[in-house]
This record gives sequence, C-alpha cells and structure tokens, in this order.
Amino acid sequence: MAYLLHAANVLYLLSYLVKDILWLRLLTVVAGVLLMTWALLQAQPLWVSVAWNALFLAINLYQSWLLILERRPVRLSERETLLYRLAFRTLTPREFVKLLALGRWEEAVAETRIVERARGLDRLMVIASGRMGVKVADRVVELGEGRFVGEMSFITGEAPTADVVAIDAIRYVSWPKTELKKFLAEHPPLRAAWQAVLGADLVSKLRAA
Amino acid sequence: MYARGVATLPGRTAPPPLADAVVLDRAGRGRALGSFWAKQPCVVVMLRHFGCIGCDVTVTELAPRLAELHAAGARTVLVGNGAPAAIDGFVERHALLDKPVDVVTDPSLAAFRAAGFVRSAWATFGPRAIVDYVRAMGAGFVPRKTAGDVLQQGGALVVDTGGRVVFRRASKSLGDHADGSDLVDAALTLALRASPMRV
Repeated sequence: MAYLLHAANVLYLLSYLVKDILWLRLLTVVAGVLLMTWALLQAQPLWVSVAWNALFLAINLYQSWLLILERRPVRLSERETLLYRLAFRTLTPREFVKLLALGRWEEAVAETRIVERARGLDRLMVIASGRMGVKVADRVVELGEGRFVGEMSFITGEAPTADVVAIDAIRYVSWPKTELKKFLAEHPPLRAAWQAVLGADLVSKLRAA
Repeated sequence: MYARGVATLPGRTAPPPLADAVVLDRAGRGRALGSFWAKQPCVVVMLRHFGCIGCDVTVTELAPRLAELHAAGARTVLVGNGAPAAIDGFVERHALLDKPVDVVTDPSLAAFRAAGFVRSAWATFGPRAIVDYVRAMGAGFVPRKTAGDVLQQGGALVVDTGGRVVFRRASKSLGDHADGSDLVDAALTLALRASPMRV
C-alpha cells in the first residue's frame, strides 16, 4: 500500500511544479484522495489525517469549481456582440456579460421622452440601435449607437439639465443606478474599466457641447 | 481657521499654507503648489519619499489612469518629499516622462502639513504598514533606498480652479492610498459641473 503514499507525494510534487492554479488544485485533489485512501487502509485507520485531507479536498474542489466557472467561454448573442463592439471593447467579454446581467434591454418608439430635464434620473443607459437627441438650449445634440445617456447624473448624482428624446425607434440597455454603483464598488477592476468607457464618452460629449 | 487634520475637508477652499507651499522641480526651482490649480482642476497626489515601496504601488496603479485624468481636463501632480535630484530616477523608473503628469518635491513638508497628512512612526512601522510592505513585495515591488522623510505619509487631493478641495484622502499607512477610480470620478465631476449639457 505504500505505492499509494508514493503516488500521492509524486502528485504533490507535480502540483508544486505547475504554475496554473487550477492544475495545482486538481493535482492536489487527486493526491489528497490517494493519501486518504492510504490512511484509511492502514490496520489502524489514520482518522486525523483523513479528516484534514477531507477538509483540504472540499476547499480545493470548491475553488476549482469557481475557477472552471470563470474560465468557461463567453458566448454573446448577436445584439450583445454588436453592443460590445460599439461601446465596451475595453472590457473583457466576461466583464461585459456580468454588467449586462445587471441591466435590462428596453425599446422605445420615436419621440418618446427618455430623460426629463431637472427630474432625478435613477438609471444609466447605452444606445444599442437608433438615435436619441439631447435638447441643449435651441439645438439638439444627436447621440447614436454605443453612446451613453445618464452618465453625467450617474457620476455627479445631480439631476439632468437637458431633455433626451428618441429620434428614431430605439433599443437600449438600461441599468438601475444604485445597483450598478454597488456592483462596481464590489468589483474595483471592473469599475476602472467601466470608468474608462464612460469617461471617453463623456469627454467627447463635453467637447460637442 | 484651519486646524491640522481638517485643513482640507472636501468642499473647503485649500488653506493659504497649502496653496502657498513651495514645491521644487527636478532642477530645484521652486513654485507655489497653488499655481498648479490656477488654470485647471488639479489632482495632487502626495507620495512619501521617492524610494518608498508603497509609493511605487500607488504610482504603478495611477499611471494607467493619467490619460483619463488629462482627458477630463485635470492636471496631475505627484509630490514627493525627497531631494530634487531623486526626481529623475523616480520618473524614469515609472516611465512617466511622456505622461501628462508633473513630479515635484516638498522636502520642507510644508504642503503635507498644510494638507493635514499624517507623519508618524506607527504608520510607517506599525502592523498595518508591515502588511502593506509584505503585500507590495508579494506583488513584485522591491524596497529601495530611502530618499526623503521616512515617517511622512501621503494622501491625495482634487482641487478646482477656485482652490476648492472637492476630494481628500489622507493615507493611514505607507500602503494606503486613494483609489484611481475615485480620483477620476472627482475629475470628471468637476468637468461636468462646468458643462451646460448634463444628462
């Protein structure tokens, strides 16, 4: 039975040699199973060793499962792919999917008022298709596909200073402001990537204004 | 009247000692810190000494955000506290030469005092600092020779053109620093408040 112990230790040795954390954990899981089997097959089973290895096994299996979930390929629908290309190229597809899961796809017909001036705005939107118009003084600034609406209120927390109206039939994704802020606060790298996307859009808008 | 520690609470005008504090460039030429926010909003990141491992982390994290701060119309100034001669090495090490940022130093610590930033042995050598130190080394940073006041902690301020401090973060230990996203948020907010179209 000593071969079980040797096999387990060879696997531990291999786990120390690999750089990929998932492989390290999986090798450790197999090694742990062999070690537990060896401990159980002793004339006097080594219950303390079995118990500790069972705990290590459970932790490693759980963490491996999380890693596998994170590494699954991301599949985007056609409209999601289009939106990703339009506005979210700086995010990874997985980050994009996480964000999209928080939002809601919405549609509106032409001339629908999407944002009302001086009225608190509780959402942030990005245009997937169609155009919206921002009424500033006596002119209308057009926002096309991939442009954000509501990001200024999102950042400053202040009410919008202009009306926004759908020029065509539009489709857009809308995120509830509070939930989005909470989510981004919990994911700092994603917050930085998201901020880069919003910031670029904002700067171009400020220049247009 | 501004007391130490509350000198630059957000929304207050930067006190005269802060605006008038003289910082030195690499050649040792002095200028008032307030001159950096005379024409455009300014993000002032006060570092520790130029060899500080925590400051290496701070600048490494901030460097990719400098272009965003610049695009938002803000000027970014890094203030160390070592000798002016240490600036060149610091700039080269962080590849800041072609980035929109000024690096100056305040060996007198006048700006640090005016901003109410902590100077303490506990913040430098206490348990929290030790954890910061180990964490930085784990991330691949290496300690360097001390180049300035080792006890002085840093912090960050965002100041508008009227001298109003809209963001302030005082570091509690050598590895504690403002999140780059918070600085970008503050700079974008200032840019937006100046815009007629806010949606």
